[in-house]
Amino acid sequence: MENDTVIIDVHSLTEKYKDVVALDGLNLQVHRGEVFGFLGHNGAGKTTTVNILTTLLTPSSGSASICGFDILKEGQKLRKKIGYLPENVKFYEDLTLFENLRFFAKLSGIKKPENKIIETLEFIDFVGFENKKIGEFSKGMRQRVGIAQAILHDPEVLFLDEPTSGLDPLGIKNLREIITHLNQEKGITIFMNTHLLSEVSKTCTTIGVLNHGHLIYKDTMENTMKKFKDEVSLEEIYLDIDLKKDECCDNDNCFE
Amino acid sequence: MITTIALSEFQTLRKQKIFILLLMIFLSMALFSTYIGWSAKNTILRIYDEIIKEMGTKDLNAVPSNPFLNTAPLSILKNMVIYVELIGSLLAIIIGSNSFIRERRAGVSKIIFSKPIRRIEFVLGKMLGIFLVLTSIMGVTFAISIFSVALVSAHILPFAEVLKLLFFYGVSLIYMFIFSMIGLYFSIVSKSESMAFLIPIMIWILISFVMPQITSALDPAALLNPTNIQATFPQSHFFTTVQTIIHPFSISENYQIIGKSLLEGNVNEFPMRSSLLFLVILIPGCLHAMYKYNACEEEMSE
Amino acid sequence: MQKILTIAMKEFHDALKNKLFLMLLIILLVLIGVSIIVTSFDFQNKVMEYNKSVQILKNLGKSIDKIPAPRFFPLQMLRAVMEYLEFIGAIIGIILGYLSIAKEKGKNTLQLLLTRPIGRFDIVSGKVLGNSILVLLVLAAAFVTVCFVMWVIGGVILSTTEIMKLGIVLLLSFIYIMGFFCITSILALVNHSLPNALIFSIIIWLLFVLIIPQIGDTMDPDNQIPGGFFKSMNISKPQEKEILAKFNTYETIRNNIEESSIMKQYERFVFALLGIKDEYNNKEIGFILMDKRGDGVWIMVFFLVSLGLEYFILVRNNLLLHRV
Repeated sequence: MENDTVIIDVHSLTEKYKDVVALDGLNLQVHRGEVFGFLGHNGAGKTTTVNILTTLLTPSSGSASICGFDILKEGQKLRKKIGYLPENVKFYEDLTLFENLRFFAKLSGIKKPENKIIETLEFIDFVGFENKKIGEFSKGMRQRVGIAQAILHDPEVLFLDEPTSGLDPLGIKNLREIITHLNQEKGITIFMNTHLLSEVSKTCTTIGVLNHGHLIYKDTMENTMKKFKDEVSLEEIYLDIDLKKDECCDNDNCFE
Repeated sequence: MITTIALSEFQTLRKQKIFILLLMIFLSMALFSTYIGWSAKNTILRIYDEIIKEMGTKDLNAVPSNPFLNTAPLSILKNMVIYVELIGSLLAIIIGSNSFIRERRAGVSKIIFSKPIRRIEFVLGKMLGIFLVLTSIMGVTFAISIFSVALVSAHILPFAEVLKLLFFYGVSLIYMFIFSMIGLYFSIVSKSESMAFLIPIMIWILISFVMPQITSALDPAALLNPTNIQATFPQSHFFTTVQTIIHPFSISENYQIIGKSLLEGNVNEFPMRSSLLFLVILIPGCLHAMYKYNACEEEMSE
Repeated sequence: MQKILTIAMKEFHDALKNKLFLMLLIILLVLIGVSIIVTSFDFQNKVMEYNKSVQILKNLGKSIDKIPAPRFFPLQMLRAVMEYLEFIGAIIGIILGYLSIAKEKGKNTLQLLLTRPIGRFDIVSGKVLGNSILVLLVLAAAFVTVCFVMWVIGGVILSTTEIMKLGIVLLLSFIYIMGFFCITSILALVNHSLPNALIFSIIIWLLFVLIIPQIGDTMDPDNQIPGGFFKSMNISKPQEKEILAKFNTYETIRNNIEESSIMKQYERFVFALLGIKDEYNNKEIGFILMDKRGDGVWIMVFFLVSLGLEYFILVRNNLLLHRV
């Protein structure tokens, strides 16, 4: 379900922590309806990118907009349009699932969230646990709750930071199905940080590869598979891209 | 949005065992304080009568008049000043510290701040929640005082005295609110949970013991006795200068003065300036700290 | 022994690097400093006034027998110092006890320690020893400074007996502070949440060092008026005792409330040694120790029981592993 509208627009985004350059002039566009897989080695800057786009972090320089709202000037309006699932999502352990979701729903501006919570839990097929304390949930269950809180207010863009981290194969499969449903049935654009290349190949429509704060590759999955037709798997493609990164002369796609 | 945050303060505090324990201690002392005050006063009156009897054969004009005959009706509550200073302010520190520690401990700051809530709304919600909790505590304590005074003295306080008592608890609320804001501030900026609690305790020691020692040479035991015994400060330029600088900020001393004015009626001063000054510094301080808070940092360590 | 010393030295150095402990130490020393300077000046003034009066009489050719002999008891100047040790000293004990366990539990180094070839008994001994040395040094430094200030400002040179009395006070202060150290260590060991353990310790401090003694003080009839109620009524001490004997129940309740506080036991003992209570002024050490043996026993029991419990809890396997 792609169209030509750029929903995430990033220009020359830079982030420096003391002497470390986490992002170095990142340029990136994600179109509405895409499932964008953001790949890169540990410390490449993927989480930093997500933190900036979700307005948790202020960039050192550069600009970005989501759904037309500037991240620096219109943060409040922007956050109404996005949902965010952090890596290793945490909740109030002493509260029940329902109490947690109600609290976050109210913070999202939903005045009477009870029906919306039930509707969301049904959508992700997670009913029957409303009155259980989050402290009793497994990792997979917490991820579902994480997705639930992120989509309660019907966002247009969903940021997922390593959503499959720590999940067993069944959990990964369930998550993949949820992401696909969200994209196909609700039209939500997905921006996903991940290491799990097997899932990227099954879920994502577009991929980008970040290396030491530079975007060294971006293209649709379809084009990527055609381009690297000699490689057997996405893992080999990724490793190939990573090996050739030094041949890139700028941040734009250099694998034409 | 602000009210959501504020109401959640109530809900979370009622599950905190430490808070419940300290609250029970505070309310018990509020009840007990009336009895202590009444019992001490009663005993003194009987001792005075005993003294008169002992001197029965001597010249009665030589016996000083009974100093407790015309004491203010609220004077039996004078210990409340100390209990608010000790237990009340500690309770307030725990309420304030716990306020944002909970979010940091749970690791939910990232989710919260990715929602359409401004940081200022979040902090104001916290402050409102804390204020409401403290107001409820003071309200209950006020009711306990009215009830216990009626119980021990077998008569209801006159309206004017009730108003004075209400005003006293209003001032106590502000005093405790200051410490809760100190707690809130350090819950935002501290790296560990223990520090978020310990640093406000250190500040409390500074305010409650160090400042009065420097400004009025009050011994610690004298600070805890409503009948303060003041030592003599050496007359030197240094001490006078230090006193002048620190005295306006000595909120615990000023609070004791206000307490005396309202409950014992033997002083007529209401030095609120220092309390208001603290609030003027602390409230924007908390707002600023929350604005600068990095939600992407690792969760708080213990 | 070497392992114990290794742990002890680590405890010692860790505490000295801890900002919170240093801040508390500075607060204590400032308070003690200000208080002793103030009282030394006061003492100096009293001595100067007496000397002035003597000089005036001599100049007039009159006998100095007309002026009552001065009763200067320099150790009485230490009243506020002892009160600060009661309050802040206890907090120092609490902080040290908390840090001693928290730094291991928080960083999970307790497991590393326990899997070394070192007995748990030695671990506790090392921690207690290291912190004991620290507390003793702090107290010794405080007392030496106090004596120095009294000498420089007040012109006081303490006699051998007075120095011995100070030595016993130092020992009692050490036991008192280490008692709080052990209680907090115990709470930090058994509590699932370290911050809660700290808050519990502070609540114990609040109750037994501040609130309970304050209740006792407030109920004291003599404390109802600044300067003393009986003094304002021109009642002598023997008359006061006679009158109070008729209020035995009230006094018993008040006394029992005070005695439930370890701080009050400590205070009564040290005030007696320092002659702050007139009835013990200039009395022999032996007499004071005998008369106050009850308070002394309670202080020792407080310390030994809390120390014993700390050993017991850390040495017992299942309790510890469950918590870490």
